[in-house]
Amino acid sequence: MAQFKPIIGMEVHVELKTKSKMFCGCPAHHFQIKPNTHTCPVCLGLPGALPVPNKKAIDWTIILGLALNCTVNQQSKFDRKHYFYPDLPKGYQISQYDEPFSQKGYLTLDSGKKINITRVHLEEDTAKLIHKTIKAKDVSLVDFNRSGVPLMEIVSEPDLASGVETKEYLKKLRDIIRALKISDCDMEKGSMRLEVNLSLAKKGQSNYKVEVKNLNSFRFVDQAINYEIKRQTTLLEKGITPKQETRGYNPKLKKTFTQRSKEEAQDYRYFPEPDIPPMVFTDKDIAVLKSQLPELPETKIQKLATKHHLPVPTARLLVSQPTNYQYFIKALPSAKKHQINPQKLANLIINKKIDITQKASTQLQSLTQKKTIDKAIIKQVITQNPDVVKKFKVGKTSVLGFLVGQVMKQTKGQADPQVTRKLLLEKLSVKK
Amino acid sequence: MKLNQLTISQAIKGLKTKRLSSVDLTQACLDQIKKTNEYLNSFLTLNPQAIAEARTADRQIAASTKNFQKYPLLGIPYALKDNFLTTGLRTTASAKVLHDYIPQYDATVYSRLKKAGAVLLGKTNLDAWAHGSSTETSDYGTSRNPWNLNHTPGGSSGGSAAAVSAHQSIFAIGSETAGSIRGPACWCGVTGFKPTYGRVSRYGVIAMASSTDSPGPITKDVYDSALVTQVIAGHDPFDATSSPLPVDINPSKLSRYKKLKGIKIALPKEYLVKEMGKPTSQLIKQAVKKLQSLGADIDQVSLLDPHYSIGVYTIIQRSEVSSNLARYDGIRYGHPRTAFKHEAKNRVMLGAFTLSTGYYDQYYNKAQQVRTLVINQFNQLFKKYHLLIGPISPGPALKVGASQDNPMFGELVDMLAEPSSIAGLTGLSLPCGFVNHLPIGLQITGPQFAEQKVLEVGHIYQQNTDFQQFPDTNYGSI
Amino acid sequence: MAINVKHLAKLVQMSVTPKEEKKLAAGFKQILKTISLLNQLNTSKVSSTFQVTGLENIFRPDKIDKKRVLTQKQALSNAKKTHQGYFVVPAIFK
Repeated sequence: MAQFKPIIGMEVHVELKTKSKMFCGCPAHHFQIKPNTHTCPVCLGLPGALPVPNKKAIDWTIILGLALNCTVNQQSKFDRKHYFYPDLPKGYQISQYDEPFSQKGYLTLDSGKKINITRVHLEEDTAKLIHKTIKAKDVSLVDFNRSGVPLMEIVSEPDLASGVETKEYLKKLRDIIRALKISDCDMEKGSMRLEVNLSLAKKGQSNYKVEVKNLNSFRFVDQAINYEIKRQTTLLEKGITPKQETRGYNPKLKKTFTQRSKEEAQDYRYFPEPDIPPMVFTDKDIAVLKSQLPELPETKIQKLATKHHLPVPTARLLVSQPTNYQYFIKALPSAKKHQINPQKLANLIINKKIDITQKASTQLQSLTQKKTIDKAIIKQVITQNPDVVKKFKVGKTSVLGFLVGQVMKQTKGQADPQVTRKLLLEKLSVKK
Repeated sequence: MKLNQLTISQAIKGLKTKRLSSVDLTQACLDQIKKTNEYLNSFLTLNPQAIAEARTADRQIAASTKNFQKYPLLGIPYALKDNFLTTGLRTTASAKVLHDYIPQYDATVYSRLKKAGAVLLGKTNLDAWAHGSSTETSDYGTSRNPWNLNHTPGGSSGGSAAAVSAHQSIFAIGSETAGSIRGPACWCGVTGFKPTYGRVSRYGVIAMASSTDSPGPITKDVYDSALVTQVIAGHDPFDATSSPLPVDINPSKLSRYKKLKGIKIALPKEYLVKEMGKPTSQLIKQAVKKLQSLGADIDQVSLLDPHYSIGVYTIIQRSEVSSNLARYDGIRYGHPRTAFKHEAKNRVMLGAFTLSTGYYDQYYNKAQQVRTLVINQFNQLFKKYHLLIGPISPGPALKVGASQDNPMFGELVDMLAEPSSIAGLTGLSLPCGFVNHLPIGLQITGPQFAEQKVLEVGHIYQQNTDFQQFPDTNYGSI
Repeated sequence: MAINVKHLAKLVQMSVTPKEEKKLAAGFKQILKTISLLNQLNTSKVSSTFQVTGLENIFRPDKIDKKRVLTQKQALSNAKKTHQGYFVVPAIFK
């Protein structure tokens, strides 16, 4: 079974949450909007209409490229990608072919494994197709509200090796995109769409590729990958090369299935979009965009490692839970005060020895307080406060608190209040 | 003189001094259209609101003649090539695929002319999808040359050129991908002006070759060209290829020089092509002499043979055409793709071939490389010379039917316009004589954004010659 | 080199009768011959010009342009088949 190594790549499409569409000023939001009410000559593909690119969508695409450690191409352009489909109003999609905005980046998994990112590019979304039967006839209904919405495509190298790794990659990617606030990445609303490319090989590369589409959750991606690994292994063991095709996934049956396979490879006839001038980004432009990056998970991890000397695996665990991470940062001053080093603090949080819904200082204090208290101090406090002791002896037990406070003062807060109370009571009940 | 025979500047004078009204002017044009359209087939659709628009203009003129400053073409009736979208008024690109298409928005050129107060008479015939140089590929029948009904008016803006030549309209709007304004203007004996690519917005013009399409005016003289261009030119935020440079076209300054002293003009000897007949060659020589007599310095130079530009243009245009016609799938508008006729198939398929995997490099990319050579040559040329002149067509209008069985007819006819078109330059075609009673034209071409200089030189030439002539259109009695 | 007209027709979704196919094929042969003239020119060190404007970085801000948004009625106004606000096409199987 372990003979064949899975070679997995992910293609992720993300709808950007810009106000307007990619090449026109129509509203970009389309979820539960009346059909064909957010269109204009441009996104409806009317004769004579021309595209003008949305600057924010481009900035955001570059920002994600930077967040994924990509090289931003200083020269970029849009290209036309031709094919016929009812959801593609112009008969071509304005996309990017050989000069995408960003290339050659990576995303690091918790294990430290780097998943290389081939490219991050920008294109326009297609219309929505709904299938219906009207008067006993099967038809497809087309709604162009979604046509022209900015769509970012993130392509990974086939570096993923399992369903589990793929899930983690997707989760991290989604977290970064959400941290950048450029998309909701809501799979139910379709603002994040997944496509898996999978093949198996004993060594090196494979000579075929299977695509799986219409995966509506990370969980289904994992399941589909596991199913495909089994299916393809079975074929390969028989000496059969799996058919190069596009498959869908049925979550109920937990199986992939052949979709209508294309007879031949598509000839997209890419050429540079003549209606849109090329784009040039200077070092300054890129620096400005880079400065807009919020602190990303990887940066947080690096900081924890260098500034606070946390081992990287500990740092990763901490950062992967934003609430834990935030608590850690806030609790650092308290920890210092109580002479607890950052690593110990991190472990306390990770191992749930500390309740992150409660304040840190009291919890840390009690954790570090000594359970054994110098009996001499107890004796000293009693001796130094005869009037208070007298009051206690005649029944005013509340003054015990004051004496406890005195012990705390003398021990610089190190004494455990419960134990102090116990010892004082012992001493006071003995003395006459 | 009949009212429809006026030029724009003459008509404006008349309107200002109240010698005539826009309604009179418009009606005169409509009468002429009624009388002659069955012979010329220049108009496909008439604007039912034309007289109403003229009335509105008359009201504004009556309110104040200062309104001409606000609306520079107030009350002037014109014809619009049927590849410019007009809301509510059928727009077909002369193709059955769009037989009943009623646009939902206006082309920028159309809305600017509306804002300037011009009156739309109707939409004119063209080669279907602008694929041609004679209007013979129109799905609604060819247009005819007003000088001789057996000949074509040229194309693709044949209907617009015929309309102006036959005084059906005071001016017209055409579009040029390579020769589609200047070619028909030449064959119909009128003035055609192609502004720099990007000078006039393409928004709302049914696209042919996106990287060369240039809307422009067809008029009775150069002064009118300047008047119209000033209105339609200028940056459009809806067209990302439109130039942000301010429009410096100034009709009133056209006559600032009376002579051409100090003007250096190049005459490329390769433009005197082997296809050119002797009579045409003679007329060009005479035009050169005329310009020299007016003070211009004219040198013969050597440029890349225009036959190379045919290949460049054919590939680039057909590739972009194949892409631009992909949106006509009959779903949101129009008829299914089965309604495309032969020429469209010819161009779309060849264009898909030149873009296809395995052929892109040797065709589309190669063409774009040679395009660079052509552009560089022009850049070098215009360092030494202000302008370039030469023939715009190897000969006068061809007979109807000459284009049949020639799969490259359009591109061959437009050979002399193709170099300047693929480089995005600006140029005029103006009448310079007759061959066999058919007009012939001269091209005056300049570098990008040299509109004012081109128009000035053209204007001076016209002031000193008498080639702005118009045919007898009593076709019923001829 | 002969162009496969049938293949091209399919690629661009246009129909051709056998007669048309023949005519187009002959035409393409002629056209390719004329175009091949370009091979006489050495372009090995020449870059391609895809745009003659020289413009760069033409963008629009991320704003909604209410003026251009069409009403549903306008959007559907030229469609042959519509249904409750949608365009209708024969069933597409995904």
